[in-house]
Amino acid sequence: MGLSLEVEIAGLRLKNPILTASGCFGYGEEASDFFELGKLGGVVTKSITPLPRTGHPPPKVYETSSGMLNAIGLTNVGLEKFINDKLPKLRDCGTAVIVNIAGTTVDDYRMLAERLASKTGIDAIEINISCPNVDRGGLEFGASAEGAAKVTEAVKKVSKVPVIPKLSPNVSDIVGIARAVESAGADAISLINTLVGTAIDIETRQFKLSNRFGGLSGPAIKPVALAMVYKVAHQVKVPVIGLGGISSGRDVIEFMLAGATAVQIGTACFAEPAIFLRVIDEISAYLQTHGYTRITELIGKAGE
Amino acid sequence: MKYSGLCAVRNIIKLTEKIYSIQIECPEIAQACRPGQFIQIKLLDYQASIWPRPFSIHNAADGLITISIKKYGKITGLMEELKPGDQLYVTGPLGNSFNLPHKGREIYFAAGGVGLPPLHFYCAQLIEEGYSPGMIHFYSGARNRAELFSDTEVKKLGVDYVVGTDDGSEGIKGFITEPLSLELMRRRTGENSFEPIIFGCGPVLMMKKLTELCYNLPCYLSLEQLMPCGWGVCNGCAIKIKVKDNEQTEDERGFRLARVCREGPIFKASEVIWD
Repeated sequence: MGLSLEVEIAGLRLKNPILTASGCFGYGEEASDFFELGKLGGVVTKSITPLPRTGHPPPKVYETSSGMLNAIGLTNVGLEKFINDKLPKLRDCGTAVIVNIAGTTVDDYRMLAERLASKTGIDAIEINISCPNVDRGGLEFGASAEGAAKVTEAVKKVSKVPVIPKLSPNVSDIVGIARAVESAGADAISLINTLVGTAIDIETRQFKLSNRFGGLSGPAIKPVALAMVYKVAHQVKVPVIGLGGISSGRDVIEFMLAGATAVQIGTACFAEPAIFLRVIDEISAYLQTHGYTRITELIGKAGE
Repeated sequence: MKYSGLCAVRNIIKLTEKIYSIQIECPEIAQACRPGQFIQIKLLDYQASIWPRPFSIHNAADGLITISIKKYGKITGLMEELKPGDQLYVTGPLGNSFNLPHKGREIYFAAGGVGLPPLHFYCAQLIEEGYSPGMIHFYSGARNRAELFSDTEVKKLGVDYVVGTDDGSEGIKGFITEPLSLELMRRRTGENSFEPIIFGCGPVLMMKKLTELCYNLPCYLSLEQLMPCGWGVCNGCAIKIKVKDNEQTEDERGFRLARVCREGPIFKASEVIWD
């Protein structure tokens, strides 16, 4: 009996549920030194902004217990260069391409989605309304149900492909925000982005990051992400893409049991660029051992 | 293709009280790597640290790569306890490499402590490719004898070799940049045709000094940074690089960022902005 790892997100069929997390995989170029991108369920690009961004000055990262803080500041090549240089290579890799967009105004998001809508080879748009590391935009929209819905609606209006808002965990009611973006037309929802954190050097009394605050990621945040995925998945009808601290096949199974239809791996690929392939092997082995033939059989089964 | 996967430790070699080398079985990296490149190593049974650590390649031959390490913190302490056959997660070869300079140009190497490995590797390659040892001057310094590489390996190459320690426990007392500075000054005032190239690797303070004393000479430095990934995707190791007079940056901050792991680790000294 063949195993099926295939999942579907708003009509988009993925050969397996393993995606890269935005900001942890560039535009896919570097990883092709290590493995064939075609083996992935999909690639989620680094956030694309209307203009190129240098990002924050160093220091930008700091390692914490079982995790890390980052304040990169949305370093990216900007929309035009992405369309001209990066997208053509990425769409020929034989995997789904999900372009993550970030702006500082609703108009930015609308413009980005509109320009991308005229390009072929994009399978979905993920909206970054949850970056904790920039002064304006991003989290400003993601922090309220109203703001999140407004951006989602604007993007949905012009996009020809599924629209996936990526939610912030730095809110008091993530379920309320998930419901709001669903009502605004979201085709799926990604969660969670990083948790706001900081670290201080007690000798110099300076912050460890030039931006003072950063986003916490890695295994340390997995229990938080899992709880939020479970809560949201049971309160919305659209598919949920889970992420936050995933570093093994076991973690993927947990997120899918909690209700995720697909998952993203970010921080863990830093230490292990080809982790995606290992994780695919591990989930296949789990399905076999436990007598499943399709991975979709697992979705949302926790606690049943 | 680059390699990323498990590799076995072949041997641990204690060099001094503080410095040891690890030989790792990895034919893929050993064959592909060039002097100046590095590898990322992640310890399998130390889950508290999620980042790998970058190490310059000291030597590569017969399917083995050698790295040399100073015992400094938790991870370098754990690595010294490794036994032959233990598995590590290794990724590489990463980063750019030293370019072969024009033959006939005199080369000065300035190594500070465990900054020596990539320079030693490059020096050995130059000689293997026919560079005259008489044209190479190798300055190696460290804080004290315990942190200074044993000189036999570099000496064997037959190059002009100068050692020093900050505390005078071996070689010339003081920073190794001092005798180097005097030598460069003496040669430059005495010879019109003196056009050396300088390659340096060591602590930040030493690199800053090198940058100053080589302000109008070609000088290349191999830099170190914390590197969450090492293969170009996280941007965590980015440093500030000077922009050219007519170069435009989108935000006019007067610098651009370069990833030490991808555009580096070797940079032209005059381009680096030291904070």
